[in-house]
Amino acid sequence: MQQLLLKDSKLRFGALTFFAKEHLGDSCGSNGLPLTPNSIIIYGKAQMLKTLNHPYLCQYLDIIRGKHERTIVVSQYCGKCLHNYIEKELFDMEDIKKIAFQLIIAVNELHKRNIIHRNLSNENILLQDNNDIKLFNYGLYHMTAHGKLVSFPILQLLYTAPEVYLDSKCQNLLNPKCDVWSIGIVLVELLLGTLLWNNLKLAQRIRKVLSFLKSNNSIFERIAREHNCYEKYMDIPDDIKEIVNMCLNIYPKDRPTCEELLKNDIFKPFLETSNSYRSKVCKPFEIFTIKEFYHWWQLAGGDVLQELKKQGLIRSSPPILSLPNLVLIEGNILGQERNPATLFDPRVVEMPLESLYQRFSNIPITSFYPLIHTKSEIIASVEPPAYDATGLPLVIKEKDPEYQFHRIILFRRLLNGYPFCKYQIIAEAEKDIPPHLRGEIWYALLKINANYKRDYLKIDKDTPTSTDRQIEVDIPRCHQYNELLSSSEGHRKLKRILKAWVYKNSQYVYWQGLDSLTAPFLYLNFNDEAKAFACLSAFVPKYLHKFFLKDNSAVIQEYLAKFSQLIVFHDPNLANHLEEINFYPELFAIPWFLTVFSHVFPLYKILHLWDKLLLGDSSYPLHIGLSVLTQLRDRLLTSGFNECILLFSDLPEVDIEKCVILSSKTFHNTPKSITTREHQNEEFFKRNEFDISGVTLQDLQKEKCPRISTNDVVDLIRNHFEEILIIDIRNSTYYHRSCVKGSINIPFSSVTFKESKIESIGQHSVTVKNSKNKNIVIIGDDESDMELVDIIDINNQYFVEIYFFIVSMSEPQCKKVKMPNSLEQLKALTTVVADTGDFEAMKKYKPTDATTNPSLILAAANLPQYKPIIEKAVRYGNKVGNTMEEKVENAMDILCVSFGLEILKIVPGRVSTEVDARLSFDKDASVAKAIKLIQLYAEEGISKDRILIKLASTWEGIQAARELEQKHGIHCNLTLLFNFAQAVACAEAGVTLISPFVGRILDWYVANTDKKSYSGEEDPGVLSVTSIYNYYKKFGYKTVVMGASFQEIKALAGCDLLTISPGLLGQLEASNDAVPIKLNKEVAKKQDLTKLELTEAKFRWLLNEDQMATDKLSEGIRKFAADCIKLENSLKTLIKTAKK
Amino acid sequence: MSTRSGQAQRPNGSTQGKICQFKLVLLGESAVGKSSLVLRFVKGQFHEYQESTIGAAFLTQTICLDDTTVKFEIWDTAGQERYHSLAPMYYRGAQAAIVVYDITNQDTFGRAKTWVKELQRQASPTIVIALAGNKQDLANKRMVEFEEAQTYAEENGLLFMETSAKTAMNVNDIFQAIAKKLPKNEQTAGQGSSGQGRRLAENDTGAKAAGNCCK
Repeated sequence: MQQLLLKDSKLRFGALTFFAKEHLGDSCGSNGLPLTPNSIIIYGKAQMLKTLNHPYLCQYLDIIRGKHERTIVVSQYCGKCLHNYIEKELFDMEDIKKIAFQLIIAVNELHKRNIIHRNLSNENILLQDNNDIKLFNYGLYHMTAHGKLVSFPILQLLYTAPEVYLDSKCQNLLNPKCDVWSIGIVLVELLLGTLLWNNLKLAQRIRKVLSFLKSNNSIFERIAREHNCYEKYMDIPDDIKEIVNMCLNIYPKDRPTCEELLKNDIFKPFLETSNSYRSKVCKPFEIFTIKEFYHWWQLAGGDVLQELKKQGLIRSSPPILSLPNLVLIEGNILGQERNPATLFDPRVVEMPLESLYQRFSNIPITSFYPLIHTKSEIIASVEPPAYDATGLPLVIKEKDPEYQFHRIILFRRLLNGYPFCKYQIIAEAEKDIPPHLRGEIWYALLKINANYKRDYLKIDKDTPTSTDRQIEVDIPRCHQYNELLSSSEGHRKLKRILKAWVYKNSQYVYWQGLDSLTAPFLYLNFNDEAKAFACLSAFVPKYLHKFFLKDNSAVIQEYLAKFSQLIVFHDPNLANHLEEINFYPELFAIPWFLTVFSHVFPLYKILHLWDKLLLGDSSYPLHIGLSVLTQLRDRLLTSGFNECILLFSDLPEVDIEKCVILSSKTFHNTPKSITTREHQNEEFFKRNEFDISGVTLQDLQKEKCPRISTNDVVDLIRNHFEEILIIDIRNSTYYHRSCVKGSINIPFSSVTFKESKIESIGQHSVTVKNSKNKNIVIIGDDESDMELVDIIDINNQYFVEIYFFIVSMSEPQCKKVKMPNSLEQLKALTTVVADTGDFEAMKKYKPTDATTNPSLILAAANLPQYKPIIEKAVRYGNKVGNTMEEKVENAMDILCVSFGLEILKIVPGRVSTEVDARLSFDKDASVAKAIKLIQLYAEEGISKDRILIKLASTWEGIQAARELEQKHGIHCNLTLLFNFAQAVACAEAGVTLISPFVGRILDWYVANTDKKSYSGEEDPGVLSVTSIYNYYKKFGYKTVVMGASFQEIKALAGCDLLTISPGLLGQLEASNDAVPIKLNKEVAKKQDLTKLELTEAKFRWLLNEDQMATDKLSEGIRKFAADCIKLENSLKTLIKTAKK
Repeated sequence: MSTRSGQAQRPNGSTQGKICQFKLVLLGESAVGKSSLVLRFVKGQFHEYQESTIGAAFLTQTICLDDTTVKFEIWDTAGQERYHSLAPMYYRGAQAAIVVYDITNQDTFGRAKTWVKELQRQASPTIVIALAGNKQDLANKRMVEFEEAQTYAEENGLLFMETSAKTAMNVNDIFQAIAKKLPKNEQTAGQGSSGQGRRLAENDTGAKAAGNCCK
């Protein structure tokens, strides 16, 4: 039964062949480029003929270029030549009328498209089984540029109108009326039932036609008389005689057009039936067309060239025979025998279809009608796939006729249902795209609107613009190996599309490369310029948003930075190597991405690549780029800069199928946020709050490893938990505050990256080692040298939105991470607070927090650059206070606050501001002073969250802090803390932070005991802080420990905070020594400690028992007080002088 | 300086002539034949439909000059004005430049002059600049007179030749002439080592810094 579908009598085709005229002599045009071979011009011009699809016209199927300017035209060829029937007199008058009608309709169809047949005769009118006709070979005159591209005349002796002979030399007569004459002659033959002047020779025939020019009577009558058919002539009804006479008018201008002929009454009945056909709203869709049939035939081994050779239409003669006798230096050729093959050979070779029938004989009829919407899941799973080709390479699939049969039948159906079937088309395209329908499928994948033709029509494509010169020099260089694109028709179309695009996209400009980008669309839609334009117009916003801005540097740079990160993610080794040799993507990848590889690869490769691209998003080209690098990996790894760059200047053979497979693999298994860009088109990508946004180009370029978004981390944790290892490199305090379940904590600074061994990571090295095949998600934050931490408040619980870094794990990756200096390592473990009043030092070492105290302010106040601050304080004091004491006090306060404000401009965290040391034993006065300082800050717009009020750790101080923290929400920093009891009291009071003075403890022991030197671990200060830290962590106090004023910094690594003097900061920065963690929350928790219950009495007792603490506390208060007085005195002087 | 020259040791210990490496950049309006000149010089080929260059292409070629081996590291740049901002990345640190125009197009000669001006202002002060009037094979369609260009070249101290990538006329000659003019003494050229000249700019950061100017 399926054979009925395949063996339809209309599904037959044949081929004819001819030679195009060869260019003589030097074949260069005015632009210095070689002249386009005429066969290529023909090839381009003939393309539009393929779009003609009319019941009375044979459909053009293919144009093939052979050797030596040979052109082969493949076209539908079915039925029998009318010529064979003429003398058999089989037709009655109705039949002839019908033929006349169809003939005129068909020719009219051509004329509507500005095609002149010029070649009409009874030999290229084919009579079908149902007595309908089809015109054959009607496009020869058109495709040869009105005969200019061939060396033979295009005419049919008897049928050709006399004016054609008169004008035969210059062939300028482009009047379609000559076809009307030919219609007349064909009708005469039919009506008279005789072939005209069948026995006459060529010249005589021409003479006959020319003799008509002198005739005054009806030419029809004259012909009838000459053929002894006058009686027959007389029997012909007048109405049809009239038609013939109108056609055979020797004056073309008086000859009617086809349109006019059709208005004749005799055609009315036919018009009515055909109109009713036309009036159907929706044409029944074809399961497949003859074009597909021809495609399958080719896949099944059909070879037009071979058939022509078999039938003797292509004959090869020894080249020596075609040598001319003489060639002049100008290139003129003399004495060359004319190759008879250069003349027109009207023979048509029918193509045998048996092998195709045989090949398809097992295809069941049901395969022609694939179920699309109603297939039940149950049936689908039982029924085997129509034709299983899964696992076969793409090239094989594309050449397999059965497979292509099923794919094309299916896609035809789906495309008929576009846009309704949009999602099914996408799903099927994921498998593969049949090349035969690629243009239409791309059109669907790009979601193009049906109005595209109208839109294109409206665009100005002709007005000259300043871009024209560039477009004109680019087009003759764009994919010129391709016959379509190198044809003059191709050039013309490409230019129009580019001009239309530039006109339509005023926000963009023409960049070289846009021509290459357009080429694939034009190639696939050569006969539908508007569709090619629509494809380009849909492609650019989706894949190249903002790439064609006049200034596209930011867009391109971001894209390239993402590319670098993607390489790091998938191939750290390669990334390392490329970085080492300074081989940046800027040097080779701009044409890749700007043209989505269309400037880099030949068309056939681009098509396969884009088949997949169109299913992906704008990040897909990055993956293609990666796949190219991956393929060349071995060569790149062993090459230096020059070799690498040479490799890309002259890109070697890249296996495109591998590219497709690799890129689609990495595209699907790369977290989306790695390739998410700021310049992405929001229309195709809806960002939500858990996507990364706002990353500056500078930050992006700094970061070697890509960030991934919270969305992706959540997705990885939910769906791929087994495949990832989450390493939290924040310090353990933050880690224990909140962390991702299942993550391990390796504080950044606890690791030495100097050796590339994983063992150096410490306790987790085994876990890491066993996770070699996993993706490692590194969670870090600001302090771990990863810039920027954002805190998002979710349900009032602080959830730290951390930036996530993903790195594929491999050993050298460890080496990759920039070796951090000791300061950086320390910063990763511990918040570093600058122990200075010197802003310059703060700017240099970038601590998170900073502290001030009277001694520091006093030191700073003497520096000239702080003069304005002092002056401001003096002015304020003068203004606000009444007595000198008040003035000085106010000036002091404002001075402290002013320094604080300056510091806050530099540090991202908090600043500590000291309450006058002389209030150390006055709780209420301390509270009042603290509130005043906070108010002064508030007046400057600084919230209390960024201030720590610094109080001495006396009982009164601690109680003041308790009140400030609990009643006023003011954070306190308890300083001059030397002893465990002080620390416990502070924790009980709920203070925010304590600053144990580590160094001064040591100082006291050195000064007052026999032991003069201590190692870091036996340092009594370090021991003191360690015990405080452990006690706090063990019992879950929130109070933060900030080690202050000491040398043995590294011994306290891991402490919540450390204040460090500029000198030490400098030393740390200069050092690359490892900073391993010393204070550890986990360890603390495991300690066996007992809780200390404290009352005021017990506190005072314990403090008094500790000579060191008592001494140091008193000394500290005295010293700060003395500095206060000094500062006050200098302010007093200044106020006095200012007064004067 | 990325130029290096030195005494290359032969296996038998005898010394060969000096080896010098020079970075050379081609500049000029699009479609004047920059890529074609390079292709002719490096591979001896000519493609009628030489594709347009996007960004830049890199090629190397070595020539012999008396006892010196000169290796050119050639950056062939994109001609379209829009790619102009990429150019400094390539000409920075270059010891030689060929500014190309098309003798059949007066505008391209004007553009060449602009390039020369820019090089004189921005590039290394010791850069050797050659002016190439390409497409000499189309001399019958000439729009830029030989004398005009020659006068201009003399005034500006440029090497000048009319070339044809298609017929190979003067292609090797212009590179030879440049090589001759380039300093090959030890003062300006340091000790040779492999992989030199690979950097686009004289310092490491140059390439990166210049990268953000793809306007």
